Amino acid sequence: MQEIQYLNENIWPGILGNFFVVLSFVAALYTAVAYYLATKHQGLENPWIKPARIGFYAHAVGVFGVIGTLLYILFNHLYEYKYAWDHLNNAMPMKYVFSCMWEGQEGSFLLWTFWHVVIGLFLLRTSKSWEPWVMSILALVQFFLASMLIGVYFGEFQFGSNPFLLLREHPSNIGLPWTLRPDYLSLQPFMDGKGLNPLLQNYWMTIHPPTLFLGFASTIIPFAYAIAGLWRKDFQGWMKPAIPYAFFGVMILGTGILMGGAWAYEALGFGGFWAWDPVENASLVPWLLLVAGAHLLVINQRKGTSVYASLLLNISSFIFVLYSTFLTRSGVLGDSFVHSFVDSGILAQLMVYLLFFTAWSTYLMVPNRRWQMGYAALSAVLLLLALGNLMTAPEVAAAEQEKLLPGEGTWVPVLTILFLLASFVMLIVGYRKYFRVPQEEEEELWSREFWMFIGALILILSSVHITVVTSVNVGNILLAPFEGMFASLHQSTDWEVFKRLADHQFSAPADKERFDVYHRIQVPLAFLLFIIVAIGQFLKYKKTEFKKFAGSIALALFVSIGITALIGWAVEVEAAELSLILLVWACVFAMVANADYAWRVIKGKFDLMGASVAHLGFAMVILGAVISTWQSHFISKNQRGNISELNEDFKNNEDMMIFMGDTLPMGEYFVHYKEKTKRGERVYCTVEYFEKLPKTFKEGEYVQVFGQPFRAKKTHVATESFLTDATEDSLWTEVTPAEVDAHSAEELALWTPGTPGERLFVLEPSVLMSPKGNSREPSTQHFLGHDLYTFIKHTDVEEKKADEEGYLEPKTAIVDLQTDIRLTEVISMRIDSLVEIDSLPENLPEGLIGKKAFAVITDGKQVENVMIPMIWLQDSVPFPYPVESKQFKMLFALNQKPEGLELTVQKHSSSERDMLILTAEVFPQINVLWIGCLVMVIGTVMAIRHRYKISRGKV
Amino acid sequence: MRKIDIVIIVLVALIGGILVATYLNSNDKTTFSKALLNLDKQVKIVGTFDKTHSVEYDAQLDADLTKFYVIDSEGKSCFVHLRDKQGKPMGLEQSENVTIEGKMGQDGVFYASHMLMKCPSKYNDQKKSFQREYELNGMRESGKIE
Repeated sequence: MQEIQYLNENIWPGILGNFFVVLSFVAALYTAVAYYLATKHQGLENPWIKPARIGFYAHAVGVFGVIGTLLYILFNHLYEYKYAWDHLNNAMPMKYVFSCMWEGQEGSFLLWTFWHVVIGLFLLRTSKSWEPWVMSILALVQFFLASMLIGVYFGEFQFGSNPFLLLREHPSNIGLPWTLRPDYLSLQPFMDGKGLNPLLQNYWMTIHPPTLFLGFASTIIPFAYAIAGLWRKDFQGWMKPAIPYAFFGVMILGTGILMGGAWAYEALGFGGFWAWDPVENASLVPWLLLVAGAHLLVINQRKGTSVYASLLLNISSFIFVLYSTFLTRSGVLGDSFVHSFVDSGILAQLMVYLLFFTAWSTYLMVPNRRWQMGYAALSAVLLLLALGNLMTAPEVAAAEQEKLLPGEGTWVPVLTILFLLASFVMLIVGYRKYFRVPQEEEEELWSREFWMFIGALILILSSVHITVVTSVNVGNILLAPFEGMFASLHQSTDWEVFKRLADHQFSAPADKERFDVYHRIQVPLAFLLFIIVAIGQFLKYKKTEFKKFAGSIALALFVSIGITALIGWAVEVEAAELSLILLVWACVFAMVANADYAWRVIKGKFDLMGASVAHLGFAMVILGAVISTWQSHFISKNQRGNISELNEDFKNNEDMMIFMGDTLPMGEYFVHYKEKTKRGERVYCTVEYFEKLPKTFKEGEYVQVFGQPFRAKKTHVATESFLTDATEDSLWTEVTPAEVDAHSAEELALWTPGTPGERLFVLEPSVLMSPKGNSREPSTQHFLGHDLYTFIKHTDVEEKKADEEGYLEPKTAIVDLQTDIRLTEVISMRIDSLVEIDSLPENLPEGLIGKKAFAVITDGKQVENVMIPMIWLQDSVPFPYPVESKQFKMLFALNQKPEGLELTVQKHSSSERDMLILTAEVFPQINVLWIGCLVMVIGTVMAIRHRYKISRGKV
Repeated sequence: MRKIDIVIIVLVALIGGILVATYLNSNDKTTFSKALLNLDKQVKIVGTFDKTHSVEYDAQLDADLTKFYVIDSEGKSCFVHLRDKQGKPMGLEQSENVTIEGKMGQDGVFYASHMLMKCPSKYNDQKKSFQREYELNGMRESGKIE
């Protein structure tokens, strides 16, 4: 076959890019091996250090080269590359080009790799005697990550996914007719890309992924040090240099997580900043483990204990970063998850890496040759069995495959369970034989290390819970092999639970119930944790005299109880909310105690204050989170009558309907729906907020409420609610419409709780129009004490189709005679009678018969009578004969249907007013959360600075 | 007994408890006909939007309520009343796959409190649009259309 010469294709960036991909891959492997050889020699003056360093520099060049080339492709809009075509388009501002880079899977792996390289370049200079081990481990991880970009196919199996793939070379396009055209790039679809999801076109997408991935990447440092410690059989020496990095990871990952929360809250409309979404959980679990691990390192520096737990936690933090990536990228979460990626080749690859690092860490946790060999052999056998099974597995029809969970029907679940069991046994053996603390060294009850250890256990419990709930689908896969066993158990016992286990169709609940599932466990754990955060620093290492301790903590205890009582009094706590007020107290206690400690005990010494400041910030974050979620309330109220009566189960009273041009009271404001504008891909609803001024009603003044006239009994200033004024204070009396007519000819004003004053601010919630599906974006006004968060529940975003005369598309409904038919929010219609037509107009053909309906249309002020005819040929179906209402600009037609009389209404476009259904929610004290975040970062930086000085021997 | 042993036993017991509680409290994925046998149980149903019926939604009457039909994995179509604080789900008509969570009512209507949608993947879209564009180009060149 003749080679096709494609026109205008820019091939060289792809060639260069692939060169860099291969360079980074090969150099990482070389570096790992070279550093491994360096570990065989003593000291840094050994022959392998220099070659290994050069290898890592080459790897760094490779990674930077890949990124540079990819950016070149993106900046120049080279749509012949699939990555550019998928994530970029011509219309998009170039400031989002970085966001495009890490929107895709390959790009996000690149970002992660990039941070590892930066960390590696740093460690290369600072890790001193640990360099060969730590760098060898890092290079090995890099080797695995670099392989994710290789993009080679072994038959059906895809090994890595290459960002420099040409669009025409992608498997889904091969063989399509256009790929055979030399000039395909001049075809319309290839002149422009598909673009970045508009939802991601904001500054959050620019700052959040780099921060989060730096956080993920930083877990590699404590991991590498811990593994290096096990490798050298120096179980404690690694800890001192690792501490500052562990806390650096805590800070960056924590910031990344909160930034994600802020993004979800500000732009994505999650309706809060934490939704327990699998992606959020995936970043939270490694953080919790790292926090626990970092604190245990601190204990070890003082006491030399907790060696095993320190190793385990610092290793598992990184393992859980891998697990999270696996969980969220692989499609295992399936239909319980919105943003799953389904690329099955990557699934297997990620799983192999996850298992490899789990196996390697576990292997090293038992420093005994025989156990290690046994475990390694078992793991290898299991792996070979899995591979063999997968290769010989019969093809499953695509339709069948869709119904199955990933891995179901193969040996993979059973083998995974066996592997996990073996690993678990290894960990227990390792602990009991090599790391168990002798009896006499047991910790005192009132010592700092004991309670810090308990705190670490609470963090572990918290992570286990989050992981288990998030991984319910993985649990289903692991349950699959036991289907038969549970089914027979169900038959013999008839217990429902065995049936459910046999079906293995469990799924974590969504929405409100999901919050319950998490909070039931996480709230009590957080409560215990904050008590420990509060008392921890007041306890001394080794042994504290209880009386002395009680004396020093008493102040914080009483102050926090006082503050909590004030908060409780202000928000009127209900009995059911006891757990929340207890958590609020624990947070306040932690805040006060840490501030007190910094003030009274440390006496404001800057170097030592880091921990107290960071703990204070952490307690503020959770306090702000609890109060703003718990006390959030809607100020938009449904004013469309009592709609809750429509359905007892559901109350719908948290949104407000407003027509364009109207001004309505809402909470402490008057809101005015000014206009709707389309800017770019978004449709904005401009809503102005006005101050609400008190309104005085004079004695004898008439108002109407739900169409009922009332008279003011005396001059008064209106409160928030008419009902209060009328019933509790009896300021209003109901009057007959006749009385009103006698007193006032004018139309009665609606009762309002105030009058609009000065314009305060404008909010523009929007709907984002996208071919990938529309989505709503909130608009928030920030105040010192609270946020006002507004969201469009409904509004028409499409232009309505109108005919030449301006009439909109007809709507039909079956109607009854002599009942009110609601046409718009004010106009109603009533068909009084339907009678035979005596005489038809002369110009109509013979044989027609018909009926005519007499209808009354009114908007409460004006009335129009219309006659709607209904005519048909004898023994045939009637045909509609539209009649226009001049007054209300509508077309009406009637038709006799088997189910009743069918009314067709066509409204005129000029009579349709634009409607907005808006929700407005107040989140109180959310700023405590953001300030807390800042305080926590500052405190951690202070602590890291101090620890870094210690680790370099300067203190 | 040493303190640390007690703590670890408590820890293991708690983890076991969490595991059991998570599975007992989770919803089961099921089908409409099975849900009919178990009326008051909160369940999850995976299916597709039924395109033969139109979506009923009246924002003025109730902005939270959307009524439509869903076909489950057994091919049974059921009337669904979805009540979602977010209003009418956007892109329902184009969705490929829906997961609804809620209870089956005695009236045979499924009362859903939550819904997840999967929209057509990029992959298929792309293939179709390429094919279409290619055909159009062919027609343009052969002079069939302007």
